[in-house]
Amino acid sequence: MPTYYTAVADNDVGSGGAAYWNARFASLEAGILAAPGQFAPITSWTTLGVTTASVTISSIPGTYKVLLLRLLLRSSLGAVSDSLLIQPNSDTTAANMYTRRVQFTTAAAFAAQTGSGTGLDLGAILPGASAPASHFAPIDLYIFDYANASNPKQMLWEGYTHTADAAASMMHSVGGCVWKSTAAITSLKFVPSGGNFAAGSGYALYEMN
Amino acid sequence: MPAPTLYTPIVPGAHFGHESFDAILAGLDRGITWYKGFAQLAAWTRLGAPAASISITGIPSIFRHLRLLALVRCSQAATRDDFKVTFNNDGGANYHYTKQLISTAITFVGTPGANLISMSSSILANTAPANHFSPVIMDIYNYSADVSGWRLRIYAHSSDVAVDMYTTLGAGLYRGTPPISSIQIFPGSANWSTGSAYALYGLDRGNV
Repeated sequence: MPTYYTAVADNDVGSGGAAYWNARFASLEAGILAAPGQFAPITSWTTLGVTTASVTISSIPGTYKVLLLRLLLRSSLGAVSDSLLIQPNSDTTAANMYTRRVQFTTAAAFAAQTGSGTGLDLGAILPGASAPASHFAPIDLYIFDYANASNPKQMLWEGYTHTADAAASMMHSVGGCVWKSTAAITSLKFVPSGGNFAAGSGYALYEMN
Repeated sequence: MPAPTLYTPIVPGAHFGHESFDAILAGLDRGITWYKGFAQLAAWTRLGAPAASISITGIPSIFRHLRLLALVRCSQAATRDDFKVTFNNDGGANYHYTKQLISTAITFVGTPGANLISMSSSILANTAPANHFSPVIMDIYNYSADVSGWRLRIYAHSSDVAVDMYTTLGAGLYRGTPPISSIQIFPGSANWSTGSAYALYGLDRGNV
């Protein structure tokens, strides 16, 4: 039996009018739009209209399996770059923060955060005010099993930062994170380490089920 | 009732024939195909018991790309073990891959003509911190073509010390018999641990 609409009985074929059929089609559309989708937006893409100190996405439903936080960010810090901190549930507990990152330019730079700081530190991944105008860093952060209330939260991320038109200033960053709390993630806060998010920065949160 | 967004409803009192139905069904079909982006081919599955391998079968050929998500740990008596992949149970010399294992330094591997994809020492094993699993994202491009490209990344937190926190990047080609209709993933040794999980998605119904 169909899930999203009422099937038509044999002797009903042709007897229904517009309302009869429109009700079935509407049910199908509602099913398409409401079904747990994959890479479907939990929050629609938001572009900041003004300089903003931080962004918090709250009330994240616990019904999915993997979250994708997709970012396009720039900092207002008066420098070529700024660091990005991720604070699940607005947590600032240093002991919960572990990240491994490598940054590729003309060489590879390695860094790790081992139970320190006030958020998961993705490094100097944000172009700052001294970077070329209108350049924003594309960043993807995947959070696996975010609603699990027993395990620490494991993440993968990747980003690109263009702070000048020179090979040494074109940086590809990749890494992994562990937020060592066992609490389910119900909100995500992200904040530049030094400045604010510049106007024009954007973000959205997607789910994969 | 809110106005529909994927199709134009039948106007009450107006004549409607097969063209009206076809237009509406086409709109709904586009909604299924495009609205959600990735289509779930294998639902998120968590192992309730150890398993020697994870096999995803019956992959339809109607998409253009695949994405495998996994969160795995194995029972090998070590902190880390290998993440291995085959397609279509193919054990021939049809896999070509590079791998970068990154902690406080990078080790590089390049292997042409291998019998499988092997990301050595990339996933957590039995003596890693409890309840930690390795997240994996693997993208397989154009999986119905003669040659499929793929790219993956993995994170393994084998202790709370910088030198033991690993990111793996991998990429390569598969030159087997297309299309890829099944995927097998297995650890280098022992079994996948209880609690390991996976899902598979298709993207872009370009082959329809």
